[in-house]
Amino acid sequence: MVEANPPQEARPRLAARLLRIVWPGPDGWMLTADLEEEYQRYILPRRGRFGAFCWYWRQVLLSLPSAVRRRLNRRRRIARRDGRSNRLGKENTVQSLLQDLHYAWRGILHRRAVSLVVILTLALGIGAGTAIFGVVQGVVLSDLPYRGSDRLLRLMPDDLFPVNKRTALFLRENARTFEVSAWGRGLFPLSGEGEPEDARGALVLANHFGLLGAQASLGRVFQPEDGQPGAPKRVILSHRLWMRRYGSDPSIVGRSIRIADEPCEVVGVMGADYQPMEEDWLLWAVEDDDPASGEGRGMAPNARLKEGSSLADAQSELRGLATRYYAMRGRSATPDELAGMRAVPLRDWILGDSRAQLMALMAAVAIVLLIVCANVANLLLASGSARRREIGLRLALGAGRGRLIRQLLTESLLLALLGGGAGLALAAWIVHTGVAFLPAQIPRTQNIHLDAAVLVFGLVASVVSALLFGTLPALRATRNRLTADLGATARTLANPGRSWLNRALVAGEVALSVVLVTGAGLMLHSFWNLRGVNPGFDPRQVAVLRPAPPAARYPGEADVRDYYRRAAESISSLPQVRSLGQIQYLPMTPGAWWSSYRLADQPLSNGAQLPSSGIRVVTPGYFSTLRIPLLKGRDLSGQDGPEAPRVALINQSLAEASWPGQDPVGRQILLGGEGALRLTVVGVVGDIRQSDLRSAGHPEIYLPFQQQSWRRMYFAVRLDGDPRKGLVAVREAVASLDRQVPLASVALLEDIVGGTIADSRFLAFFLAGFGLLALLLGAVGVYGVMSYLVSRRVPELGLRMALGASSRRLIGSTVGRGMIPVALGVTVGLPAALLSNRLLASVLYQVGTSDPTVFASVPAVLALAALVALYFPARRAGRVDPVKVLRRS
Amino acid sequence: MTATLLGAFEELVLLALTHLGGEAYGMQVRREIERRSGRSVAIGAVYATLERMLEKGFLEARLASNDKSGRGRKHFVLRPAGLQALRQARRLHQRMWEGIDSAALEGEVGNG
Repeated sequence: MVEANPPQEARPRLAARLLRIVWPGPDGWMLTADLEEEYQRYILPRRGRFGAFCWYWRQVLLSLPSAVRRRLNRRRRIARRDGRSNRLGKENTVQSLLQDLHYAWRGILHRRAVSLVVILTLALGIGAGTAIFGVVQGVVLSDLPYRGSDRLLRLMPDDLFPVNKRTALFLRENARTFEVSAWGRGLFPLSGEGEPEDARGALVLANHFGLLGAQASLGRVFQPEDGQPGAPKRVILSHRLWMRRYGSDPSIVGRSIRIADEPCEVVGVMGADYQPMEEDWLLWAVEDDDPASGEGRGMAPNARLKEGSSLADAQSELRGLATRYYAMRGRSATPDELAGMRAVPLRDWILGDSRAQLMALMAAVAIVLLIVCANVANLLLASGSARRREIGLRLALGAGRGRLIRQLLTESLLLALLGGGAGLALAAWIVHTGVAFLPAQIPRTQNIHLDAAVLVFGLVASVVSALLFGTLPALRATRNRLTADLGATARTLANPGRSWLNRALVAGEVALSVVLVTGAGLMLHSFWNLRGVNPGFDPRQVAVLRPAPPAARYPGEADVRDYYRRAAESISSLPQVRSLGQIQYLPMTPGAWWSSYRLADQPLSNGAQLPSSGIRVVTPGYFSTLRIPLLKGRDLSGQDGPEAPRVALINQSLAEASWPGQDPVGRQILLGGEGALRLTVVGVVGDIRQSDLRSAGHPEIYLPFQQQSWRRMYFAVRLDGDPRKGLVAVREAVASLDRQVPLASVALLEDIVGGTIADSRFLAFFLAGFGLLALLLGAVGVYGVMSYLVSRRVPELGLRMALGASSRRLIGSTVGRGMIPVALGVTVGLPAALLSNRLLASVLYQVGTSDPTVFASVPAVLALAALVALYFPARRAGRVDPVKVLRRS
Repeated sequence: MTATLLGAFEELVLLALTHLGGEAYGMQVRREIERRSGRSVAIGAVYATLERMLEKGFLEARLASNDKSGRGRKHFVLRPAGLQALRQARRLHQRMWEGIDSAALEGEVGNG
């Protein structure tokens, strides 16, 4: 009979259940009960809760082998008793596997130092590899979260074919091989129910979600009738916004919220794991189907291939549609414009450069892992030689060579699994903390997590590593050189020929290091070039912010201008403000307004292609604030008011393209297609890099704000002193005018510019880090092997010294012998690097893949590292005491 | 001499049982070994060994319900065969150790 259970104070239930599983039957009950009683009566009072917890777990874990053995014996006995054929084969395999594991574990414990080093280096390599694979899996490899995502396309008209609602609707109407929808970025000023904020989101055509095949988690997605002109304004919220701003209120569907001070009905909320086209979208609103409204708004068309159509079909239909569109507008498309029409798979568009960058990282980490394996193999070869006596004895006693090899491999496997386990923990930590530091250009980072695929990768990496570094040493160690091994090996002269394997491994490591370090060098050089690019303006000490005065409170142009006037005054009154200006689209920020233009003094020829230019709206202080040089003529000024003649500034590219070699001041430009705006050029300013540091500028026309109204204008403010403190002051100066006006993009211009090359910096530094790691590992490898070789050559060196060789000659000979594999590695590595670095070509900026600076300095760096690594072994070789050596012989 | 030699751990278990007066249950044996040897012992190993020796006939099992906790416990009792195995083991040890002095254990084997 079993007594009532004593108070179950903090008994480790999991451990108890585990024990019960492996030890079934009445005996198991007794055992568990015994353990319980001991735990409660003696251990818990004496060791406290934590100590008792550990004790309990230890008991259970240490009892596991006995439990397993017991079950196996049971089964065998039952089989024999029942007269079944003794399944010796199978049982013996399991038995001997267990035995192998047992010996492997003992072996690892016995050689604690070596094992620890191996496990740590493996953990580092496998951990880094798994983490990077996790990123690659989440960003590049995993499916897009849309139905049938490999049939989704992005239609890529470029700057020449206007990307706006009218063309999107035209495509949707007329395409046969694919369905079309479109989205455009929007900024939605939310008010009511909390602080006013500008929420980034999208304006979409009503069939957007239907095209993607996405469902809402609450309510519904947009239906075609939501797009009818005149339908009430409807929005869909993202999960993040719903949680943060509306407190996860389940009754939000059907309620109305205020956007730009107008009521909008919430029809649905998307699920937490839905991934919008751009990561920072918080809500979606409907853009109606009327081609006339919101015409200038840029929209990006998505398409889904219909059944039976291929990408090539879509591509040719797209060209045909473009031709029709131009024809409708009264002119024909040029081959250039048609070539710009592209249909690309959506995944390629989303990934962009990131695919190449992440693959480069993956290759780098694979190289590091290979180097790690080479190092470990060297270590094991060295320690295997030390075990020759033990192995020789076992061979002599009749152990099969195959069995011994299997056992040594099991040891390697156990080491690799231990290292891999630690590596997985490291990878989990890296992924958890590191994702936040990824540059903004890398898409889909919210999809990065350790899932089954990543764990499997870690496991496979461990097993493959074990095979790579364990096989050769195992084969080596069990070669049958019996008598020599059982004898006093130390007394014989070491055979230098036997160490070629160690040195070959070192050469291999060095070659791999060369590949990695040159790649890193190229990336660093490229990043350095990017940093040095002159953007055409001076972003330092400039604070920016962008108010969005809502139409409800500032309905007319005059109200908007008045607000900005007051804001400018408020900012100017701050003591640290040196100058300020405004522009509707700051460089390096999203947003663009393009228009075609015509030179007034050139005749209109029918069907000729009209050039287009970017249009910017600025205030007079802008160019001086950003230090953009004025090359000819004059800046805009107060005299260019609403009643004055329309003027404009143009940039140098436009000036040279339109009137090469002549003075553009005073000439006239016609903006827009048919009979539009006539502008007089009053000055020329320098070119700047508009969208990012890599691409050169395009033509720009600058219009004065007083003559061209715009609702949302950036302020650019040049500050004295600490710009971060100044930014806070400027923000407050504007906010204090009217707290209901949301302020977006509050930042320093140099941070914005720096952000555009964040991905380059990230890649360069990561590769540099790996390169450094490879150097370190390679140096450790050279040091380890040479140390070992010197210690084996001690008798020979002592003999040579006794025969008259100077210590310096021995040092020289050691260094020389050590550098041979390094030189070999470099010779093999450089051409390999030339080939492999071609893969980096797409991400390099103004650096050739065979850049001489990098390729010249890398061998020097490696040679230096090798010399440093050889210092200690060489010194030891010089310090050999010939007397002691001779005495030992 | 009986057919099989006692394994090292088996010997420890039987010796512990002897110390405990020839009869004890599993946990008691574990405690005794731990106390005397100073090494930590897993209860599973003790139980498995006790079962094995039960099969070999060195021990017999008895269900006792006489102690304070009132629950049924499996007590293991040393049988004459078990005592015989212990005696044999001691004789074997004595014979193998005969002639080895402490000096031989410290220095190198053979002529140095």
